[in-house]
Amino acid sequence: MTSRLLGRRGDGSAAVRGWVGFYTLGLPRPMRERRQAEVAGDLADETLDAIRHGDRSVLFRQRLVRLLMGIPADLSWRFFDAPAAARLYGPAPWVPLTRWTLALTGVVAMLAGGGLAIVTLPALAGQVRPDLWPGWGPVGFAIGSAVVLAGVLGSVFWPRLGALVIVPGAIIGLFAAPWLWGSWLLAVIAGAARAYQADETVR
Amino acid sequence: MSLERDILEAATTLRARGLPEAHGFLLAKTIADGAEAKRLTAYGTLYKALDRLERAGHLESRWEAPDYAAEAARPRRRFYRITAVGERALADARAADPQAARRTAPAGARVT
Repeated sequence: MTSRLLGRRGDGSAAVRGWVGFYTLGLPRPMRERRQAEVAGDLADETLDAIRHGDRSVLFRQRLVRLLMGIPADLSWRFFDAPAAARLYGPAPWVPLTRWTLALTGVVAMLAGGGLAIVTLPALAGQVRPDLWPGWGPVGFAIGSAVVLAGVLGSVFWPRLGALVIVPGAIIGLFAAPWLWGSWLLAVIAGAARAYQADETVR
Repeated sequence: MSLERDILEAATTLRARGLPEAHGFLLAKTIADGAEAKRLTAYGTLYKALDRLERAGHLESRWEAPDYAAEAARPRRRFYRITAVGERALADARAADPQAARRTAPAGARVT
């Protein structure tokens, strides 16, 4: 009975549990576990109800609808309600960088810093190169590089905030210099890796 | 019509049927049974509303005893109970909009 209530392949329960696990990332462990356990209980009761009424075939569609319709509320709770409640648990302790996150942070910082220097130093020295590439590209590239640099350095001390700063920087940079997509992607990966590493529930 | 009010109405209905505490799915089921669409409230919408009601003091909650859940071979449930503050808020809401109270009174829950 337990396995049937905990969900089986194709009934949508894994998608719901996965989504809850994703949007609760970064919350204090008690808050995260409470939301996950509560939704797990709901899924089990939903399965039990379907078994009792002999309409288990509707579970997947019903769950998908409940999941999708609730996403705006989940995001609103995660970004507006949960942070205030999370502060009651006190600040999270600083997490030292591992070898991998240090390497990623260093590479991205060098790329962003180097890119920023290539564009801005000649301009500051009065040697603007109009042939660099046309349009607003150099300005966007400089802004994107500066934001990514700030985000990746900030992620050392404030992992989640740093990751949040990196994303818009990488998007600006991607529009300004799309041929460097690999570098912008690497920046996002570095931020995500640091945020994941600092998440107390995965430590 | 707010979901918060529907939840308080459902909790009151269930209490009148001898269930002073109700878990999230039962509340969603009770609301759905009383609604025209018969559709269960979305996970995110339901648990966000329950969280808000609890923080506002309209509901209080507790985890089910782990032994009982283990015996039933399912995850633990979190039980919600309407408080005196919640009852007053519901009475105020009913007084302000009595038509809505009649519209949303849950007809009957099928699960326990």
